[in-house]
Amino acid sequence: MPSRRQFLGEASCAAIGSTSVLSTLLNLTMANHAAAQGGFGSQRKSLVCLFLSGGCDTFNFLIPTEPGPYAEYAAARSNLAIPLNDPNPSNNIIPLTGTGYGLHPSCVHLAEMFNGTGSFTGKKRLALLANVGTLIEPIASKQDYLSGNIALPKALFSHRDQIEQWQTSVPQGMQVLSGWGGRAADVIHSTFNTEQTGNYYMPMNFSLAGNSAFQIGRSEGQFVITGNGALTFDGSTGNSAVNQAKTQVTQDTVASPIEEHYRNLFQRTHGRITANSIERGAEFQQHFDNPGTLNSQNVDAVIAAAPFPAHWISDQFRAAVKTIAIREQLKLARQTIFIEFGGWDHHAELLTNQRNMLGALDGALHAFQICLENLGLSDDVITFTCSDFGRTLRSNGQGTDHAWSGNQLVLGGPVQGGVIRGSFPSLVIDGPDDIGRGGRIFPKLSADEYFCELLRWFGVTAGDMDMVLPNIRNFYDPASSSHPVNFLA
Amino acid sequence: MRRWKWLVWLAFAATIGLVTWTFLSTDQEKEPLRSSMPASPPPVQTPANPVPGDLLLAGYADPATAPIEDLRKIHRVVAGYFTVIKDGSRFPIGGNADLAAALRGENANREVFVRGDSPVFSGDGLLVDRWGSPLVVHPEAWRQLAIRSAGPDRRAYTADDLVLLPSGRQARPGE
Repeated sequence: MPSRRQFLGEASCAAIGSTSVLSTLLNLTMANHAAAQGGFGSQRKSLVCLFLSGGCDTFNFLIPTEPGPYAEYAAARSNLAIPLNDPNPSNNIIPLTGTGYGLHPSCVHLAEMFNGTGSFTGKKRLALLANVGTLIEPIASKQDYLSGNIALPKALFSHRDQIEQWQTSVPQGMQVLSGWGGRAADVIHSTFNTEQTGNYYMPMNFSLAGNSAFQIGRSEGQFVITGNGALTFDGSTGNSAVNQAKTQVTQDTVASPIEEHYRNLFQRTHGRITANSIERGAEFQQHFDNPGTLNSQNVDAVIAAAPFPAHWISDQFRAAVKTIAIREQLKLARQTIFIEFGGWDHHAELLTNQRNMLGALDGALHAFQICLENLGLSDDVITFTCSDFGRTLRSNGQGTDHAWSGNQLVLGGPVQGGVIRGSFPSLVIDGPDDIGRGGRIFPKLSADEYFCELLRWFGVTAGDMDMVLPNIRNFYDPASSSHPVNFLA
Repeated sequence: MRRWKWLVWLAFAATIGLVTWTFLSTDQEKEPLRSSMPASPPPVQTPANPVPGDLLLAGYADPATAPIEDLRKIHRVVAGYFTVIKDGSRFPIGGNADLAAALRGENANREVFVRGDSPVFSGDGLLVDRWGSPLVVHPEAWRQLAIRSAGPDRRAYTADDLVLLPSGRQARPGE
C-alpha cells in the first residue's frame, strides 16, 4: 500500500508527464481524495449503522438532570419519567460527567464509554447528539414550522416514510430509492477499494438485516449476510461440506445452464449475477469462517471472550466484528455494515420494554466495542444510531406515540467522546420546541449534518457530497474546513 | 390611427408583463421546495349540509351492527381523504388528534370531510369508538393508517381490542 507522501509524489509526476487532459483530471481527482482524507487507502475504515426501528423514545435515553430541566422533563413525561433519586439506585438516571444530562439506568456501559470509566477508563468513546431529525431545510422556531413557509419532510410521524428518509437522507421522497450509504459507495468504492483488481469484486456494503434502502446506490448494491455468514440460495449458512456441496449443485443446475444455453439478454444477465453472487458468497464465507488473527489476537477467541448479552441482537454484532476483522482479506479499505434492532414502537408498556431493550443494546454495544479495542480496530470504526423518529413527550397512559426529533449516539475511537452535540430542546409540553399535540419536538440538527460528518471521515470529498446528500447545502457548506456538528475528534 | 395606438399600447403592456413574469418565475426557481400552503391559512368554513364523510359514517356506533363496522366506516372516510389530499408534507398525521382535525378541515385543501358535530368525535374533538374510548390511529406509512378500538374493556392493547389494518382487513388476535 503506497504511503500518502509516495502517492502524492507519483500522482504529481504522472500528471506532469501526461499529455492527456483526461489523465491529468483523473490524477487530480485521485489527489483530491488523498489530500482530503489524509491517506489514500493507508487506513481501513468501517461505518456501522445501527437502526433502532420502530421509533425509539430517546427522550428517556438522554435525560436532563439539572433541577429546572429535570422538573420540566418529569412534568412532561408524568408516569413515564425516569427517577433521579429513587431509593433503589439501579432505577436512577446515570449521570454523564460535566454535562447536566444522564442516561437511562439500563445504559451502564454506555455511560462508562461516555465518561471514560470502568472498562473504558481513560478512553472516552461515546458522543451523543441531541435533537436530531429529518429536515429539508432548517427550522429556526416553532413559528417557522407553523408558518407553512418551510419545506417539510413527507409524511412525518409515519414509520415507513421516516425509516426511508433516515436511510435515503432525502425527506422530500424519491421516485427511485437509493440510500446515502449506497450513494457513498457509488463515489468511493472504486477510488478506495483499489486492491480489488482483475475480476475480483466484493461490495463495500454489508447488511445483517436483509435489504435496506440505506445501502442501495445507483450502481453499487449491498451484500446481505447473516450471523453465520453469507446467504445461500437454499437458505443454509456456514461453510460445512454439506453446504459447499449444495452450493455447487446450485451453481451447476441453475447458474451455468442459464449462462450457456439461453440467449435472452435478461436471462444471461440473471445467470451471470447469480453465478457471481454464489462466488462472492463462497469467497466471503471462506474468510468469515477462518478470520485468523489480527494484531496478534485470534479473532474468534476475542469474540468468544467478549461479554455479549444473551440476546439475538448480539449475533449481529458478533458477525459485524468478524466482517470488519476480515476486511483486508476481502480487499476493502472502506466498508459499511447495517444492523437493525427492531421493536421500539412502544405505544404500550414503554417502561418495561425500554428497560429490557436498552439493557440489551447497552450490553451488545459494550461487547462490540471491547472486541474492536482488543483487535486494534477501534480507531478505524465508527458506530452510529438512527431511528424512525422520536416519540411524544406526553404519555398515552401506557407508552408514547409517534413524533419527530430524537437523540442519537456515536461510538468509536475517532469520536470525540464525552460530549453532547446539538441543542437539547425544552421539554415543556406546548413549549417553544413542541410543534403540538403531545410534545412533538422539532429537530434543530439535521440528519444531513450528522451524516455529512461521518462521510467526511469516511472519505467522501466535498465535491461528491452533494450527490450523496442532496440537501446538505441547506445546512452546511461541504467545502468548509470545520465539521458540521463536531462530534469527531 | 386610434386603433394603431391601441395596438402599440397593448404590445407595450404585453412586453412589460412578459418581462415581469420571467423575472418573478426565475426568482421562484431559486427558492427551495416549498409548500403551496399560504402563511396564514383561511379559516375552515363548516358546511351547513352533511358532507360525504358524514354520509359514509351514517349508522356509526349503531348497536345493531358489529363494532368492527365502525372501523370500516372510518377506513372508508380515510381512503376518501387520501384520494383528495395529495400533499404529504403539510398537516402530517401522527395519531388520533391529527386525523380528527384533518377530517374536520385542518388539511392542505381546507376541506371538511366530516363535520365537527359528528357523533364520531368526542367532546374534546377526538375520534372515539362506540364505548367512548379514543381510537388509536397508527400511521404505518403515508395513506396507510391502522385503526384500533380499545374494545369493551376500554383499555388499548388488550385481548378485546379491534384492529383494522391499513389494507382494510381486520387483524387477527395477536397480529
